[in-house]
Amino acid sequence: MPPWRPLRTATRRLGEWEPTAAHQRAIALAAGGAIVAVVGRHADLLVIVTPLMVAALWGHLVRPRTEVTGTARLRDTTFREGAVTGLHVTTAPALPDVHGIVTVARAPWVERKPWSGIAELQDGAATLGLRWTRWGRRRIGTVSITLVSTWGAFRAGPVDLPDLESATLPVPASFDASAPTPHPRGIVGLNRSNRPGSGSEFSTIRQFHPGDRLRRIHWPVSMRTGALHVTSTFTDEDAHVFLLVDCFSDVGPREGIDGRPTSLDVTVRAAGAISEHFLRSNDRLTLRTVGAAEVPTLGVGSGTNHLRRVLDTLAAISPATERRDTGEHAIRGVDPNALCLVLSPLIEPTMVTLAHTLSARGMTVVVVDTFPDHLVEDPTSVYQALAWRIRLLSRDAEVHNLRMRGVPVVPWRGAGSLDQVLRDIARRASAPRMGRR
Amino acid sequence: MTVSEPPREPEPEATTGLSGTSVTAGASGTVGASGTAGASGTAGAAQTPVTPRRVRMRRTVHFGTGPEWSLSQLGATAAAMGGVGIYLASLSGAVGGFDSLWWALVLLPALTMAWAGSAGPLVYWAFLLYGWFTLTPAGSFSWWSLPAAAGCVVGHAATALSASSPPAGSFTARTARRWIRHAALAFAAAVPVTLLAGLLTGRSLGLVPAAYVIGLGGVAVGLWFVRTSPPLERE
Repeated sequence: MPPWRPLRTATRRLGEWEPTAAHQRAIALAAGGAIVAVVGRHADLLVIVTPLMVAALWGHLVRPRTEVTGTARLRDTTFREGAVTGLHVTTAPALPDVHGIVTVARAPWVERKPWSGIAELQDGAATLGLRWTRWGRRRIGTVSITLVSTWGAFRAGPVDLPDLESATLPVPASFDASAPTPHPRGIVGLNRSNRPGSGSEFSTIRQFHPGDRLRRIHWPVSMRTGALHVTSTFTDEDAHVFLLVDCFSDVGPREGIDGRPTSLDVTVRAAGAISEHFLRSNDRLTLRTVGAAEVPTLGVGSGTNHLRRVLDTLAAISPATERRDTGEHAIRGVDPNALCLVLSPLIEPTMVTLAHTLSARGMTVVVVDTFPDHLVEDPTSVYQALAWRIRLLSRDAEVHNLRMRGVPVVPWRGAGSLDQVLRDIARRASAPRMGRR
Repeated sequence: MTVSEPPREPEPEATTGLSGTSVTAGASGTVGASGTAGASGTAGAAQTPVTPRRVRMRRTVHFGTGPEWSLSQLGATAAAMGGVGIYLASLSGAVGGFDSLWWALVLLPALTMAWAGSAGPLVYWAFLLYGWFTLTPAGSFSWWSLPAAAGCVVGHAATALSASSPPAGSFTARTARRWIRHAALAFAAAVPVTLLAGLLTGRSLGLVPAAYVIGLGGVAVGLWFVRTSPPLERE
């Protein structure tokens, strides 16, 4: 799939200057009034239309004769939910005494400031504020420019500029986990391993070996024993986290960043928060989506740049655009030692099946329940809340089946949501287990 | 009629904070904003909220289910009505009063507010000038024509200004001052014409036929001068 390249700058010529109704009115009234005044011997009528004659001649003499080009430019093409930026509109050349109007059409999830989307050009430039209220890739409203000359006599435009595009990244929910990530295997992470090596976690004090770093020498013990001793540490390792995002369901009213979240809002923001946490800990992360079409496949990666790619991928999600997706492609080739986090409101049976499949492969699976509570607790719609409670009763059975298989299902509560379950997994990994023969 | 109060907007050169993102208004005089996106450089970059300083309310008015009208547009319409009112008052003064029904013509700019960029204003101003022509006797001159000229230019300028912006659009004070200055200059041209007409009224200079020819010739030259789309020559 070709990479998405949003349009940041749009330029278009505003066309020829055309006389307006005001100019034609001034000419018609001035000429007609003057003729009638002279023929009908009404000198006072001539006095009345004299200012209109001046207006017509003035507007005609100072009419712009150059073609003007309008440009709209966004400061950036990638924003966070709730972020505000300026849309800069300029006309070149900037003509004196020209009254210019810029309008930005209404677009979903883009707030305009001023809220009418209309601004006046001053010296050929205007700035409108835009605020993105929901994650996703979208076009901002069409920018239209109109220029009017002195006395409103001639007009260029209105001309619609090509639509500008932007990507709004989800604002990650607050998330932090103090529990270690299970199954660390790499060499660059922050997770403590059981192997001695270069790291930050203290292991023991032992005798100096050739190759040990001098700064590791423990001088008190060395002085006391008469032989060089060094501080040894456990090596730090990184883990692999596999995120599986449910894009089948977008349940709940869409109210943007300022309102109540939908299930997909919770899912996407939780995925962003979890990604940010693990990638800042130098863990590797893979993101796969199920149920959304045209979402680019993201490989394994780590670090800040990969976090940016993850958020870009999350912004590209269009809910329920691939209903026939079974998820088999998404879970193909997953590292068997990865920690699988399935983020889903568990409304779609496919996601429950995928969690069962991953668990059956012997992988460590945690299902993060992203069903928004406000749907059930909505006091304004009693019947809808009742319907959701009935639906959740059947969902509870599926959740129970998952738990019986050993797959923990934890509701998303932001920071610390996964602490307990990750500790339990780490404890379970170190506990003795019965082997099959 | 419904008066709606949109969300507060930052005043020019004001700085406000929105969701942890700094916002700075542009120097254009319009309400603008330029900000820093948290994810523009590095995802999750630190953002510094800034305390709001000044905000300005922009009110709009709904008439039934029609479009929103800004107070600037309503002001322009009121100015156009004022122009018609001044004109009618001058006409009343010139003819010594007329039927009170004529005063209802003051409402014409308000009725045609939504069609300021159409031929509507031309029609009603032509009607008003026709009223002056029919109600005042031929060969006479009234000093009331000077305030009538002021009303005419104010009405024309206000309608032209109103047509240059959408109904919800506002005008800056700078724009309003420029239009007032232009209207005043155009009106100033009527003063010497009034003085000249006042001096020549009642005097027979013996140049009436020549004045007709010169006047009509001047009108023809003026029309030729301001022509914008000359007809194409037949091949």
